[in-house]
Amino acid sequence: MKGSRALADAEHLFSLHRQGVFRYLCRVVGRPDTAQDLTQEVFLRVTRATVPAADPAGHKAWVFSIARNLGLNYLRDGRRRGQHVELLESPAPATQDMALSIRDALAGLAATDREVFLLRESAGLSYDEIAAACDLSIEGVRGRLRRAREALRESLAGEMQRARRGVISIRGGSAAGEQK
Amino acid sequence: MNANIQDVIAAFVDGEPVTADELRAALALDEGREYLVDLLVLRGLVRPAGGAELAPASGPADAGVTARASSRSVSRLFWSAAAAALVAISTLAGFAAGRMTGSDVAPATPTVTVQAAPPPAFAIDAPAPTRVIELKHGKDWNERSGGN
Repeated sequence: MKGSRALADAEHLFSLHRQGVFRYLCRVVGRPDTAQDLTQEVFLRVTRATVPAADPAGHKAWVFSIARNLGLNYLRDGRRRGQHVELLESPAPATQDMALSIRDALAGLAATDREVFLLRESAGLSYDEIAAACDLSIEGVRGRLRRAREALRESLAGEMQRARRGVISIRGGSAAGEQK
Repeated sequence: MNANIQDVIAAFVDGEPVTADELRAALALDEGREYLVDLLVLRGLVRPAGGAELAPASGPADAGVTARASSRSVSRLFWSAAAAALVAISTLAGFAAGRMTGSDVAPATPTVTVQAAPPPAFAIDAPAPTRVIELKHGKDWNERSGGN
């Protein structure tokens, strides 16, 4: 049945990507409670929409394009109603001061550069998936990632200097385990 | 630093395909190795280590649960409507049957028993008046002053 198939597809996408969407939206909006609400809205829209005929990477890009649009809408509306000031999610491993510095550094990036960077680092999307979600070319994704990372290296130089003394991993945080 | 070197190292860190020669060349440079470390440090800073996880059971974003709940709501609504329709049909059928057979069957006359209450104890003849007030036409009965 078409309806049950669509529901099964939506549930499958939910089980695969809900954590990534939540992490991404946490970074975008800066408030875990709001990120939860927006994550719910993302998957309600996924449930209501027709899942496009695509490979898993295409599905992931589609889900994150919905998340990106909702996050941007939220930020745009927030500028009209005034921004909340709240710490980012759990301060571990960074201290709260560091979390604020990271938030400010991210806020200082150009909007699209920030989205590309967060889709890569918070959500774990591949370059292809980011390109599809943001309607960019692969080279555009590479360039924006490079620019965002350079800007963050400068603005977070002090925090990075301290973090260099600790343990690093190529997997970074938990987002690296996101299923693609 | 050469943007190409940065892109090669970034692609390697991001799990994108790179050629071994390009990676070897990028990592042969001090600044390339430094960039690799910086990307990993930056990733460690930006990615929460389990700090931002959606609760699996109580998270509000459980679309599957939402969808199933929605499905259950629809099902419950359907059965409620079906039950209401059944009651309505039964009532109408009973009414119609009653109308059709009403002329043949004498209506049952309810038996009502009324038990007369005993007369109250004070239901006796009123005593004779001790004072008789006589009303006369044209007399002014408005009280002017004093009075009881």
